Amino acid sequence: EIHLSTPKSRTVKCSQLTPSLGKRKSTLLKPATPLQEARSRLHVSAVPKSLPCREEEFNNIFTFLRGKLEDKSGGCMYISGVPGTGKTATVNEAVRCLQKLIMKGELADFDYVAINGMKLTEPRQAYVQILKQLDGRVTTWEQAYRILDKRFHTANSKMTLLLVDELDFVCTKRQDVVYNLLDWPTKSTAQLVVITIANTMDLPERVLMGRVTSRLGLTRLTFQPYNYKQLQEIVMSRLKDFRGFRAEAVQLAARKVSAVSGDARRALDICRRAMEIAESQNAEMISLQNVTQAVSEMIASAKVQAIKHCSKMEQIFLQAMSAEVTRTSIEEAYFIDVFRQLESICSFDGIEIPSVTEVLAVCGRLGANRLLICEHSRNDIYQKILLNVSPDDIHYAIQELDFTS
Amino acid sequence: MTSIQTTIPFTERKRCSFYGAKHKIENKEDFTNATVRDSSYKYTPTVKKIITLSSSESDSDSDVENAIIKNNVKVCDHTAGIQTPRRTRKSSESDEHGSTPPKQRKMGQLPTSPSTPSTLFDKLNLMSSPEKEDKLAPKRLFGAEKYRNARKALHSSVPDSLPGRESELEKLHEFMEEHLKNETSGSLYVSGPPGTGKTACLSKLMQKTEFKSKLKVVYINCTTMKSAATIYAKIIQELGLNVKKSAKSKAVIEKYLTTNHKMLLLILDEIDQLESKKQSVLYSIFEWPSINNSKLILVGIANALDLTDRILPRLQARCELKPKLMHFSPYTKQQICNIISERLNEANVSDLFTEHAMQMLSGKVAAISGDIRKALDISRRVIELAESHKVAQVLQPTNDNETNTGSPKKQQSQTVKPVDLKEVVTVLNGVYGGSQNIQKEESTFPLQQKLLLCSLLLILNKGRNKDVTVGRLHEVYKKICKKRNIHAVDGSEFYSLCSLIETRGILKLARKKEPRLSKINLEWDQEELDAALQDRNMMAEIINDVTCL
Repeated sequence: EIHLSTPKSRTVKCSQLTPSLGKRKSTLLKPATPLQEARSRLHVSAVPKSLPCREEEFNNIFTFLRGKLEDKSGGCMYISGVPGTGKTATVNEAVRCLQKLIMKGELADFDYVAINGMKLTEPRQAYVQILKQLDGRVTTWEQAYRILDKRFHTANSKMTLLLVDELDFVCTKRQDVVYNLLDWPTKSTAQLVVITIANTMDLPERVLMGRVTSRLGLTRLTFQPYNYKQLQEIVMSRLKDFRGFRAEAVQLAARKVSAVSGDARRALDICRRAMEIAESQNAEMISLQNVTQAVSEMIASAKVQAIKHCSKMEQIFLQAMSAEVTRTSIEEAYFIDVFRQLESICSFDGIEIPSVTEVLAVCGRLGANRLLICEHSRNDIYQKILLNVSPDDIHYAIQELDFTS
Repeated sequence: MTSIQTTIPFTERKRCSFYGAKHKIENKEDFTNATVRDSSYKYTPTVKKIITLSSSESDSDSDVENAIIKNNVKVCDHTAGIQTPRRTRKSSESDEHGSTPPKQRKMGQLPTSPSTPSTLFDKLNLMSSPEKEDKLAPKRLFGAEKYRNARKALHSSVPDSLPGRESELEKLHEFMEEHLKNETSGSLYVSGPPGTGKTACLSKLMQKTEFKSKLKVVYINCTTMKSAATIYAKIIQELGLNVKKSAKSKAVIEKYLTTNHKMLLLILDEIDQLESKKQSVLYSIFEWPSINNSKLILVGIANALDLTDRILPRLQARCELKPKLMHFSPYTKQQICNIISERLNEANVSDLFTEHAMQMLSGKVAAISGDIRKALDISRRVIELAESHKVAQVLQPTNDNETNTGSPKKQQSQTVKPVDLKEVVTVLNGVYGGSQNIQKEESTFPLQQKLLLCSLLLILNKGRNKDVTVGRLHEVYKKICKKRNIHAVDGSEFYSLCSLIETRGILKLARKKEPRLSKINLEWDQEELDAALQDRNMMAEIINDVTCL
């Protein structure tokens, strides 16, 4: 038997070597001004000690988990909600609180395993990850599955808590992985509690098979998007004693975000961007103008700008395209018809009419920057073209009267 | 039953000081239809709970084993033997606090003096050591043990008794017996919707000693297979045969079957996972019983009623190959009712559900799916809800010192309120509510998403062309926004809005290469969504605004 693996790879597989990153040459600078400090606190990665506005959900998860761990019975929970509503953060906080209880000796010890569907190259790697987090070995997934199956089929003194984030990426066509993950808790010996997180509210009914849905159970929790008051509270709680951010400015950011998605990450990002803008202007206070600018950068409409900066002929081509759409009231148009429209516009404006090849090149350029959607140019004058911007945007950008109507 | 208190925990906490909670107690008098004996019975567990909180030994879920003994105990309930076997076991486990005798003496006095709860409680404080008191969670309550027992009794794992499946068990038993007696092979296909007790029935049969001695039982869940063909290797592994690596596993099994000394019972769960090209695997497995002098009973379990007809039509051609069919129908209302009440009886907490609540719950589940897992889940949720309400009523600030908490708590805990219709309806609506929930979410539903939905409804109601692409919807939406002076989001943002609404299950996007060309389908019933969005003047106006089309 020849071992082709170097000693190093073997030590990595048995987790005798911990992976490390290269160190910095110089130490990091401490935030000098209060503005910088507040900005670092507003970063999305800085998870606060307690999550504001999620008390009810936290209680829900915490009592569920605590009950399960104390009863020593398995179970599942499905948590859903749009991105940025604090799902994973709340679960992590609940687990932290449970681990504190263990420290105090009020709760029996349990193993905590967290996997994320997006971090797996394929769903079956979930077994490998779970085993790695349980006892540090790295094996093939078949072997990992066998070990785990044995583990959950024999009575275990320790409870296991498994968090499956991004559940929809663990679902394949056969759904064997998700079935196994949810079938283990139904064994009376397993003592496994599974928490699954995904965005879609009706994922169990929409994607999963009946047998998997039945095992997932009905213990479900939906995280609603934050409203503006909650977003305001979140930002304010992070700023703590920093007084440089005007309350109305925070409220504006919160209102803008809550009207669209209610995503806390985005609200924090907008506030940080507003701080950066204020800093670049050497201002002490973050004003409404800064926030407005940050919002317009974040929720910007670049298409109008793009049309404004097009060359003259490209603009005329866009006009011709919208005129053709208005004429036929079909969204798709053939290049030849657009070309005819372009000819008429050019003669109207007294511009020399370019050749078909030139216009094809214009069309190709517009297609490359996605103002149009067009087929390959080999179809020549019979290629189909679609507008990727609304005709109103074109008129608005070019500020021409719509003379075709 | 008069008004049941459902209160938000925080206001409740602010409103009542511990001594000023009198008005609630008056209300609670209505529910105290429990005898003194009952209330006394409720205390002991809590005392136990305090004790067992710190003991980290695992206790198995042995309600079921104790059920029979418990029933005996219930007969002589008025004696001091209120302690169920289970609890004695617990107390023996927590040997540091095995000091139950003084309490039992108290219990003996209870029927004569109704005011004992307080004295009992004081005793409790005296008995348990101070450091234990500190470790207590602030929300620990009387009756918590009861709820916990109920929760444990309603677990969804494989149970020991199967009420409502007697006839099926009988049939399975007969099937096995017959084949055992005649030493003939046979195949059986068990079908039924998820959560109707198929696996539970067979695992119960597997544990019967009469079969255990005569049969070699192999249970395989086919979902665990990498592909259909690996089933052979798995069967070999389960049979414990030692095979050369080069040998074909299928041939090895067939050889084993012909030279079999003991009858083999092969149970394949979720057999529809073995579908392969031309179904060769399934065919060969179902042909094993017909191999000469093989002694194999094959049982396949799946959800589809017609699996054998649909994907194994050639089995019909030969009579000896035809598997016997057996269908597990969804549980009826009465069966669900029986199961839940039996479980509660086993845990000795049968008074936790009122009759109406039980009927409502089982009726609803039977009407929708007949899946017992769902029924147990909902009943567990109901109990959790009831418990949290109870916690909310008696919630106390955590910084409270233990000495003065006695008086309000003991009056509150005179009875554990049984779960009534109201809680059940709340949970059921939460689970099966669907679009009714949008009205509740009105406050959290972002404005732009509402506008998007209104634009969609406008197109569907009033537009000529009913197939809606993202681009078209965006144009209508922009007109609507312009008319009402609302800042409209641009195309890419609009597309992400569509995906966000899709996660709520209201829309379905048929994704194309270009986001603009993706088609939008409304998944919910149009009238319902209409009704949900009509509640605001602006929305109603938009839905009927033809000029924006």
